[in-house]
Amino acid sequence: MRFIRIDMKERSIREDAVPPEYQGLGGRGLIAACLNREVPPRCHALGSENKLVISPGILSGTPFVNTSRLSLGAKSPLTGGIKESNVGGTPADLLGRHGVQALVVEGRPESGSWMLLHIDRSGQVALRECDHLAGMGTYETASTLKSEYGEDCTVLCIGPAGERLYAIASVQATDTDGRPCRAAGRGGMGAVMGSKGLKAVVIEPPDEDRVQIADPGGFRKAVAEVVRIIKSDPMNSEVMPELGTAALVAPVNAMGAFPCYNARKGVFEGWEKISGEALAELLKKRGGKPRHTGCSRCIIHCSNEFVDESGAYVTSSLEYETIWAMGGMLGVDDLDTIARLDFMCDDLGVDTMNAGVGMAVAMDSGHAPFGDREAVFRMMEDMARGTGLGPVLGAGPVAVGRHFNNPRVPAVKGQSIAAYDPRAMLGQGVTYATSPMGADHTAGNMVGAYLTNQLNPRDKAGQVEVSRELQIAFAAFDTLGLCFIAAVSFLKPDSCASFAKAVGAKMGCEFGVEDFRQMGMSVLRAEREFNRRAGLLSRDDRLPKFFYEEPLPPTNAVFTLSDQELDSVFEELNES
Amino acid sequence: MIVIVKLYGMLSRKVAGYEPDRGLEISVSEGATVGEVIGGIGIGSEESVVVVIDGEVAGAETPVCSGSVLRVFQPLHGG
Repeated sequence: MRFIRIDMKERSIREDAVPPEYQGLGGRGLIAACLNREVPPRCHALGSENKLVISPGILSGTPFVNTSRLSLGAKSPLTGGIKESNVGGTPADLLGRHGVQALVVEGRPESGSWMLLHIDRSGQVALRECDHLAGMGTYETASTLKSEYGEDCTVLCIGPAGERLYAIASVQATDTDGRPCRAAGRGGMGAVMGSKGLKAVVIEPPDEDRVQIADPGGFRKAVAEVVRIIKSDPMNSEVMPELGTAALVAPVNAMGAFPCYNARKGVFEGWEKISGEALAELLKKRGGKPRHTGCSRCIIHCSNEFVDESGAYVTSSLEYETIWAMGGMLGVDDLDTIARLDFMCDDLGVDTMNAGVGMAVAMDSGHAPFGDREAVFRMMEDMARGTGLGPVLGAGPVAVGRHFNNPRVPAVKGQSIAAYDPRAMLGQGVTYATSPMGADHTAGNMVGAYLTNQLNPRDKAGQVEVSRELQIAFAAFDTLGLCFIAAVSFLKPDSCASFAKAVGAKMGCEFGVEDFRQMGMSVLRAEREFNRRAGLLSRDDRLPKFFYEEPLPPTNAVFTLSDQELDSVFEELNES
Repeated sequence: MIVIVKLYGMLSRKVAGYEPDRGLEISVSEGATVGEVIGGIGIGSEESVVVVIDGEVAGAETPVCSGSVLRVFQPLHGG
């Protein structure tokens, strides 16, 4: 495997043998190990000591389906702790096929040109000046780079938000259609990339695949079984291809757990206008694509392509979390507005969730009435131009709350919650509070436990245990590069065993369910260790006060788990 | 008595002529349960769906009342 260090101060590239302590790691696990070892946890997230680690999952680049997740990690300017944010599209597959285990972007230029990192078809890596891309949105950046390096290249880039070092800046990746619409949105990885003076990474498809599979025959057989399991799961064979993740709008509202108007209510009056069912119907009528392949090697097709009334492209993919953040949280009940806002976020290069929640906090503070679409567009434009409230919004929801002296900020460790209110889904609150990532929608998403009748969402029983196991499982999946949607097909012991067999065939070792669990635990242990040394302690594993005190209509639920119960989530990690 | 069943996800496509705005109006006897209502509409067993009534996930044995709105989903995980 190739371990490539890029020094942005010296503008030099060094390719090392993989350090022994990073052998066999990838994705989130590699990031946890590398940051713990190489980055001073109390450093400034945008300073020279921080490092941006870009690493495909262990399975990325192989024929294993749905393994096109690329992890980007650094000390986060948003949370002050460790951050791994992963993204689909096409870069992980190409990096895996180039045999790249990690790109470690180090140092900080004192001044000078914007740079891009170029990996050509032969695998040669070079830094190139790219001042002509400065200030460009991600769509123009991607199309310019494709015209320069070939239509088949993949682009990973930041937009103006990353250049401005906004703490909610994303890194955008091109999808299978070459559009930079897939986001490593969370934790401000775009700002870290911007602080390094790195505007883009351009990856050409390799002339020759360098991916290594220890037992190709065993791997092929195991992957066939994995495909069978995914295809036999009704969620992944029926619902996701037809409705995408937006299918969640209906059940989460039905359970009164859709936080809207800055988490003042749990059911959005206009939810049936922005549901997955409404989205699919609209796209069908307009000739858009309710079913779309966003990522390399995808067999689920949960992505979509949103078009306007004339059939022209607006954005891809309109996802559940964005529909919530730009819809329910802001009181906006039309999909056309939400789709335009999604495009603006992707083009500017900001996380839709942190952007939406920041604007919701502003509206909740009296900046504009909920539902005022023009006010929302003005706030987005302010963010793009760096005028008015823009820089405050760019600094994240907690900064917005501080600006308006409003303590009602639905965020943990500085990062906004996602589209599940922790009062009406208690276990989701456990995950938000205790994940080393801050409030996160993929670190241990509980909604499946409620929608498969495994748990009662408002009964404390079992919430800690299920959140813990999901956090462990997804720390491992994020290390291996499997997408979240496919991963939920492997949560049961028998399907997980089939999945683990494929991992073992790739790595050339016996790998079982317990090894998978140990992998997840070791990742979480390393992440929590980094956070501890960064100064994030158990007092930071808490939800904002209003979730404990303010009943959520219509269920009037409050968050009821005690500090001791939250602290018990990772006791097992501390002991082992 | 009459209960309303609203279908989501791909379930609505399993019932011919289903109108999303109206849902299904179903006549059931007093004391009927969620399982009995679901079993009678041809979308599969109550184990293969999730039913929410008034914000609560309902079990197969949960009794329904006159005018109850049963929102029926396929099992889903977050994304």
